[in-house]
Amino acid sequence: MSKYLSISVIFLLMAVISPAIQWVAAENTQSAPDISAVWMAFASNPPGRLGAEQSRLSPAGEALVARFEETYGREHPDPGAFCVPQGMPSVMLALVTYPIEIIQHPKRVTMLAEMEMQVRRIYLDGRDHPGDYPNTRVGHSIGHWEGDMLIIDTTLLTGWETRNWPHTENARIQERIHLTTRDKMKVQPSPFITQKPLDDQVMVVELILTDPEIYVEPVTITMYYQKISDDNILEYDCPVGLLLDALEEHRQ
Amino acid sequence: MFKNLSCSVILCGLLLSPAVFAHHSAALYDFQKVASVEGVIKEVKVNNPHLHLVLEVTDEKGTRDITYEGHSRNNLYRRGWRPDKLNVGDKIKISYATTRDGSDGGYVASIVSKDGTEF
Repeated sequence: MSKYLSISVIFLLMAVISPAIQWVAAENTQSAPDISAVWMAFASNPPGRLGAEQSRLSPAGEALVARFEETYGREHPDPGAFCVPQGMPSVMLALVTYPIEIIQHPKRVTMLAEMEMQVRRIYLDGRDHPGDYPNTRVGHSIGHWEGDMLIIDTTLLTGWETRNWPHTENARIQERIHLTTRDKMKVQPSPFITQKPLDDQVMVVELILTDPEIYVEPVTITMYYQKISDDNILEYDCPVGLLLDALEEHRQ
Repeated sequence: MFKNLSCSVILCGLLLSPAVFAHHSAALYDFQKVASVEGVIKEVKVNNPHLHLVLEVTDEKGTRDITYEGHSRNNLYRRGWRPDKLNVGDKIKISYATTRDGSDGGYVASIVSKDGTEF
């Protein structure tokens, strides 16, 4: 009898809690700002060349990178030259060069990065990270709105043993995203931006990479994005060049 | 216009960007040292991740074909390149980051096409 009672209580709790979670999620999105747009990063903190953060590596991190470079050389082949996506966090750190289109939905934010056509799916429906999901370059992302702030947690990343932004499979990335206006920015825009912004709105992405195995402390980078015209984002048909080269090698 | 070039803001807009360094060896090219040259296009592939360009160049060393690489197709598009802008046989001007070892070639920073469009 008590067994059936316990099962009944569990089902009752599920019936009550599940809609409650969905209601909370829906309530949170009602006040959420609209971040759907094509965005181009035009400023960063720290400014300049992102990725030169090796000094924050722990001795184990330094050893990891050194081992890779001793094995493959300091000027080893780069993934970008072979159209291999670098994933997180690099996909969010393309200063000036490659835009990201964001499509916002109450239960999902989808980020379409032009560079290597990487896609980030950020689930806002209350789910947790799965326990049986493979590690990928962009990882698995869940998020929620806290007022005007979108909080994203990303894990299940593929390890990366060399510059830029080495990380282990246990790395975790938190992003805090909110909108502001250009006059409230406290950092200088990159002088290299050429696209004109569509308006004064600025999307601020504070990214915190936590990977205690190889960094002495969490690494924080803040990116500032401006809206650009949606005809500025293209297909990034990178691998076709590799295929054409391969076809040439097979020319009869 | 193409004489006494320095790494100006417009010229180096993408040269110094992290994505360029993500794809290219800083050891191969000197991104602080920009030169310019005129030449006739022998080969051109405006592809991702890189522009592939072969120019017939004549200078004090004589006439020869020199291979350059450059920005991605997508970034060139945003800077004003269009599919009809670069064709074999066109005489164009380029500015480029030179190789560190002084050999021929370089990383193209900007192009003035046959019709005068700069990208």
